Amino acid sequence: MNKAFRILIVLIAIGIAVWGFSPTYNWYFRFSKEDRDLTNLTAEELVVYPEEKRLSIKEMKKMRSRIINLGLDLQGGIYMVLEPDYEELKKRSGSVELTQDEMKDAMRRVMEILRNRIDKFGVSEPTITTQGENRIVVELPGSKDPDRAKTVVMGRGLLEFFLVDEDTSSKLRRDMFDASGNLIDGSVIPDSSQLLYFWKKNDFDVLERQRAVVLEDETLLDGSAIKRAQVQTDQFGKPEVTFSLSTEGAKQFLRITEVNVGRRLAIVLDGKILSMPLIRERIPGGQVRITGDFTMKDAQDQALVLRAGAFPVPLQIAEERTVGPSLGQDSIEAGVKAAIIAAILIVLFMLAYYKLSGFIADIALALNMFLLLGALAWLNFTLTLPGIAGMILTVGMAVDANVIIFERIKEEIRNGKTVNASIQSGYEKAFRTILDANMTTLIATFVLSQFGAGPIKGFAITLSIGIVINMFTSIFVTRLLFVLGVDAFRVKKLSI
Amino acid sequence: MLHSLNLRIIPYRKFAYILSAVIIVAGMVNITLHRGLKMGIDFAGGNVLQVALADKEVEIGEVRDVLIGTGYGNNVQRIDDPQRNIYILRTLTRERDNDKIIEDIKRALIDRFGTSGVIFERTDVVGPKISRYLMRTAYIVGTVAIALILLYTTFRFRFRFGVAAIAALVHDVLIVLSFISFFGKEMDTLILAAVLTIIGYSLNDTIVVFDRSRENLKSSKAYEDYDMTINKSINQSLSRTLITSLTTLMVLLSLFIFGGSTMKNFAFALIVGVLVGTYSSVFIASAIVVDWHRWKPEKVKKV
Repeated sequence: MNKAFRILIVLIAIGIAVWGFSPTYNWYFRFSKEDRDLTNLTAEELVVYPEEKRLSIKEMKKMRSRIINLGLDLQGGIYMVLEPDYEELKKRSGSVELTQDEMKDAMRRVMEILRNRIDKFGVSEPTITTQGENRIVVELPGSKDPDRAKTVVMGRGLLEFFLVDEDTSSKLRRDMFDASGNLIDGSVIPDSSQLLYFWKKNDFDVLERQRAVVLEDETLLDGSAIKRAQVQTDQFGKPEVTFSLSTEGAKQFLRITEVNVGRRLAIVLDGKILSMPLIRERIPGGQVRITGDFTMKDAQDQALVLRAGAFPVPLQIAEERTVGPSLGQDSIEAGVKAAIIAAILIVLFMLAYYKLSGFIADIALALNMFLLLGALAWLNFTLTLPGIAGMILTVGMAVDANVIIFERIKEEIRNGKTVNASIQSGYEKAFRTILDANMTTLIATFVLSQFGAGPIKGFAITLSIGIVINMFTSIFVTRLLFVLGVDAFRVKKLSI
Repeated sequence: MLHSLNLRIIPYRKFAYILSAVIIVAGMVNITLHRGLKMGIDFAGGNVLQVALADKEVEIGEVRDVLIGTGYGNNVQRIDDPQRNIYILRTLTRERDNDKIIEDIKRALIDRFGTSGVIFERTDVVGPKISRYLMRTAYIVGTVAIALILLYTTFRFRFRFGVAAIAALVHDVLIVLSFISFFGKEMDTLILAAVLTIIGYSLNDTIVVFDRSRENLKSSKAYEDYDMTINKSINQSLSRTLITSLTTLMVLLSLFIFGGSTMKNFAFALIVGVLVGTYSSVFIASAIVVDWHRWKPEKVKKV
């Protein structure tokens, strides 16, 4: 590889990092605290603001999916207390009082489903704990989108199939509804039917009711029959949710479609109609596809909710507020101060011990941190204290890589080799050492990062990315700087 | 200055074995006597106490100091409320004496801020943040990670080197856990992060030393004097080992000194970990390889 090409690679890497990190920079240093706080409101709560403001907040919300968030321990977050509503469970089991065991079992399942849903929600680090006997506290890192958070946490996940009541539906007229879309005279709907709506997000992400349809009351099949759910795109590139039914569910579905050919089947999630396909023929195999007017993100959230299963009981938000960081502002300030002192110490030490070569190592170290931040921002990573621990270890390993290289070069110089030869064989010998040391650690962290538990995952992701970047900055970049420096200043004796 | 060192490390490995064994056995006995490590709220759940302070000028640090004074930890969170000054204090459950814990904290808060200065809004029992299910998965993940590391090191080095590296790693984790129990510190997410960091550090350190042994073990002559070849390898990489440990310790000491009360435990675990990690890669890991060779000499093999 010639030098120009190598310089180009380094510049491209820096360019990508600048591109990756710039939203984070804008977010924390250019936007006002007030605007940032506004993005923590839901679309419904923003209705009171002028249209222009709402649009700019919407843009900011979009941007937030490309920045580094600070986790609960560093900046606090949304704090929600959820309470199960046992009324429905009582009705279903037909008893007046639920036994202790029934309630405990319901709670356990709610917790399990919540964990499942939130774990798959993203790279954020939420915490879910019980409080007392039947309260659940969910804490979501502050900068997460409250709209999405609420959809995922609160959506019941109840999927039902109903047949369309074509007779009554065809009788519906626009003038039978008032301005807000409510039916004025409820008696037009027969007792054996119900009125449900299609829903669609408007330009400000507020859900609005669309077309009303009358459906028969009897649930033909529900979400418990679902085995798998995933998001795909159809031949036109539109997102669709597909799911496979269990053996039992598939049999039921076959029966339903067999006797109802020519009718329309409504697929309803949490009381909202998703899709209403016509049954053209009997459908064996238990593969169901929902297409409709929704975005990729919506489709993903739906699939996520369907996969995790439905809550056995509906949940209610008993309390919702924001909390400060669990570390406390004072601890964080102290930590930042300590980190700055540590960084200065390392830079000075490398300069003092390795002189000009130490300066090259310092540049590589700074570049390493910058590239790491760019990558984390691009991943919309939530930084927590374990994540910072991963960064500290990255710095440690980056310093280590350079120490290994420099000690090798020194050895080669002592063996009487020329400057260029020492650099070359020093790097070659050190490369194998660094590769093996980094690879073993990378294997360990990669396995850990596949493990969906908050603190461990945060640590493992930062360290894995850090190690990969380290191989680039500590070996490739420093070597390039050495070669450039030696050529430019016709170095006879290395400053190392 | 460091490159001319030629310490006799391998011949004295028995002392290192004894030292490590004493610490680990004492640590494990201590942990067993206390029926396991002390688990923090993150792992064990605990009590939560919500208080509103009349004086809006009071800062979170002061509230935390009161909690630290009672000896029930330092977990304080402020609720964002511009009108009022509300804090959530979390403490560990100690089974029967929950009421006493709440009572002690209430008294300490009243002593500090006055009877009319604090309103107790709510007390409750909270479950752990890190559930048992999560911990179980952690064991499985740990086993998979160890298996893969062993596979890689066998492929790049030799099986026995891989086993020795894993042994050194387990050794380090056990010693750090022993120290956590000696000093009566609680296991929380911070300490968990510290233990993970130590694993990464120790592995890195050991592999670097092994790499030198691999390089030096190229001739059949090197095999004849196996002990001294390994000893020479340790010495050759000693300058790097010491410089790296020194820089890492500089970072950790500044965290320990300037990082505030919450960061202290974290930095403490890491300092112990780095010292132990360095020690094990110099005195333990290679020593295991040497003794393995004595037990079953390995054949000359070009790598």
